[in-house]
Amino acid sequence: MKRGKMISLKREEKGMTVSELAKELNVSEWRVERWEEGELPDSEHLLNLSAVLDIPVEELLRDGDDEEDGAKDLSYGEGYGINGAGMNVSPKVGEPDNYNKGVLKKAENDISTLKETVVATPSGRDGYGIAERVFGYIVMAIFICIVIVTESMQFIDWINRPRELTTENYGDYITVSVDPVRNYNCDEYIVTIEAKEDITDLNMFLEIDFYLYMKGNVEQTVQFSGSIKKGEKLEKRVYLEIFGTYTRYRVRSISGGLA
Amino acid sequence: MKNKKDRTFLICQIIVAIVGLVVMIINSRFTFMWAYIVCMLCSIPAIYFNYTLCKFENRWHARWNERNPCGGEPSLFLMYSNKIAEWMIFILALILALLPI
Repeated sequence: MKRGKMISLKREEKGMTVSELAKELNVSEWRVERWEEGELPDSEHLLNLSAVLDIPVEELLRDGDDEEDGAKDLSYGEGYGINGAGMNVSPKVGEPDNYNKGVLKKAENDISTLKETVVATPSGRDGYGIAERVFGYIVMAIFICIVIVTESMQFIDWINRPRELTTENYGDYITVSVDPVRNYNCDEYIVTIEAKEDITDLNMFLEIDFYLYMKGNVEQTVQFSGSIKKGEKLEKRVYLEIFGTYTRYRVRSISGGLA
Repeated sequence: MKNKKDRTFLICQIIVAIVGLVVMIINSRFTFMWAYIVCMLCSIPAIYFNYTLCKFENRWHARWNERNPCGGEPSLFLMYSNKIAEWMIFILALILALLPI
């Protein structure tokens, strides 16, 4: 008998519906239907199914094809010369002969081997192995150490950050640029400062050198004052007597508070 | 391969993942944040449910490619190779958290 048909018949003999059997085995109805269509039950359900329906595990493992093919082999000698030649070695009806006893024994051994193979104890389960846990803890400890060290260094830098602008550190907090209004014969320049951080009470004196046409080097002083937010810009215009070129700038003095 | 459902270890992994995310946010490292989140969301459950995933993979393989369906008991090779891949993704995510970009 086919495996699926056998499961179906046994279930009906027990007076169970598909859903009751599924509930009994703690599986889905779909899975029970699959089994009744001939699918081999999973190893984890095989023993439970066998117990609930009173079907030997061997029968569940052996599909109907094997049984039908082997039916003649395991029966009573018909078709074998040793019986058909009048040698009077045929056993009584209902008992296998010696040859077929051996075949039966071998089949039982094969089935037990198959059972051990298919219904093997699971080789693992969800979770973590010992070595894996050790490795994981080491990796996570290294990561946490690196994070602690880097973040501590950043925190120390933040604690020790400058609180006031000086002529030495202003470059880290302010960008200065001097740009001509025109690209030729320019006698007007725009001086711009941009804050990289929030600055309070800024007071900055810039000395800007220009080279004027026919007059040589001249120096202009520009003052910026007030509070600037990060990213804000302050502009001042510088007017020259005659067109000339921008040479360089110097910060004569600067003061201000940093956040 | 005897495994233990070690919840302490799982919690440690989740804490480390959160620490990495916080570090990225504090330092404004948003470039690889999406990759970090994806890697962590994939690797931590996959490391824990490695056996189930391997079994599921075997069953599907058998269902589509084999004549007779099987229970799906995975081989040690499959489980080890998947574990290694999952741990590599986890470590990659930790490296992303430390990259200064």
